[in-house]
Amino acid sequence: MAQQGENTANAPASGGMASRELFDRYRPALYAYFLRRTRQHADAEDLTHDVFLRLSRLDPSTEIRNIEAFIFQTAVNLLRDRARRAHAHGPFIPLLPDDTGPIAGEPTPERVLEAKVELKRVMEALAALSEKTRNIFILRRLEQMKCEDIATFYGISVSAVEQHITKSLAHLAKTVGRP
Amino acid sequence: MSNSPAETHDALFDSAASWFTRLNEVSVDEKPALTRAFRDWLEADPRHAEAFAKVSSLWEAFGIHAAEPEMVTLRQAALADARNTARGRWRLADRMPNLWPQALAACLVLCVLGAGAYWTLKPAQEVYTTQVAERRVVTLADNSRVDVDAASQITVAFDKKTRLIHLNHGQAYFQVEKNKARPFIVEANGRRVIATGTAFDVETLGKGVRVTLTEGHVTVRSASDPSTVLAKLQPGDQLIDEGDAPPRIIRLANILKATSWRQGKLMFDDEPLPYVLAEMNRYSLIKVRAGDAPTAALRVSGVFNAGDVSALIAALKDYYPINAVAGASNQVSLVHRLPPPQP
Repeated sequence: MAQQGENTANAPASGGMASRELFDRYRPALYAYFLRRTRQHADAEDLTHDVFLRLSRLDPSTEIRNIEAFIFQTAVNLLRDRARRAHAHGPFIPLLPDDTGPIAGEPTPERVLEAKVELKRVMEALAALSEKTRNIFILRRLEQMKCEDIATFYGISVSAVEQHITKSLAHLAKTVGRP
Repeated sequence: MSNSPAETHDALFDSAASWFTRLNEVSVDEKPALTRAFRDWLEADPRHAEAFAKVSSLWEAFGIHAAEPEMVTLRQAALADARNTARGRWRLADRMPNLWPQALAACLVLCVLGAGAYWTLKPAQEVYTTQVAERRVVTLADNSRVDVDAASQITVAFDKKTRLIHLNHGQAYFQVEKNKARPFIVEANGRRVIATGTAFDVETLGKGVRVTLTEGHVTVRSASDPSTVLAKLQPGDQLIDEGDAPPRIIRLANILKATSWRQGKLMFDDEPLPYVLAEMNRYSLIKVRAGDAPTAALRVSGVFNAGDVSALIAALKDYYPINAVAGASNQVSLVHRLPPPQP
């Protein structure tokens, strides 16, 4: 399934900015984020550390364009894994492929179910957007067209294209809601 | 707090989405300044990190649905919309034949500079481009037939060994004259559909392709590495290959539906109205759109003549409580007869 490596494009993961520098820059925000979710200083500290551990373990050839998004996406996954380990009675089955894994495996039944439920909500959220906004979001996210090209298609400015994308993304975040 | 909690909640996602897009699109030069500002924003409120994490995770997870039929429908509508809106862009390609005088002049210059340079010039390639609502049937030098759909472009590059065609964008249907010694190859978005004598439809889908086989057999290979076979298709198979997921083959795809555009018919089987209108608009200078959410939620089945907008509107008005409202510059808006309950 479409997962990691999609957010990738230009700068290497740590080539643009050393992982130490990233650590210094985002540690306070991540720590605060985890503390709000776990309410445990020790857990927040561990989870913050784990984010950068995953970052440092990335294959050096992995290219990540939006490293900030990657960091916070990793944070979400770590929290989800932690919650699952705490509550699961059966064996641990990742619902989403691990961030650091090279290739996502076959989808598990749970994951297929989650994706289906999710799809219905996503489709509803998309239907509420204007046609143009929705099309621009799909062209950027799924067709992976550059904003410059979309701007040329529609005869609008690049920043207008970015506004359509922002609008879609904000709307999805407000209505679909993932943890 | 002056804001209501709901407003604050929405505003959080607005700014998080805005930061996400800026970080996603920023140029390398401007990135350091932007990340400093981003860190300040993150630390201004602990909820900022939370909202940003949610937006990032949503963007990533959105890709899971890329190949779902509902999403493919939306993607095709988005691509059709982009193709239709960008007419001016495709016209540039149409002018390619007019470049021949310059090419000839360049050739003469090169001949003066060195005889060897002559051989570096590529053989002539024919480009066929269609505009909105324009379909074209092209008979090729080997007697094969290509139906080029609206707002599409192919480049024919035959040589002695192979019959190569590039589908640059859009959709085309190929009926291939048998010649085992000289394979017929359609290249689209880095995939090669290889046939000897057969009939198939190829549509570009973002960076991927959709191939529907109606007769015979084709093999689909990677264009960059021809030893990689992506799929072998049987009649009735439809391949959706987008690169980021393993290629999907839908057995016994609705061939009639996928290729009905060639007969000047558009066939819909319980499709969302916006998709139906987007398809119809490719054949019409009068653009019809769904004017409100209840109308956009309608689903349509039926066979229509491509370009016959008035028949489509009449049929829709018969079945559903909707009105057609003519707007400025050839726009028609379909709206629900009962106004929504809000004042």
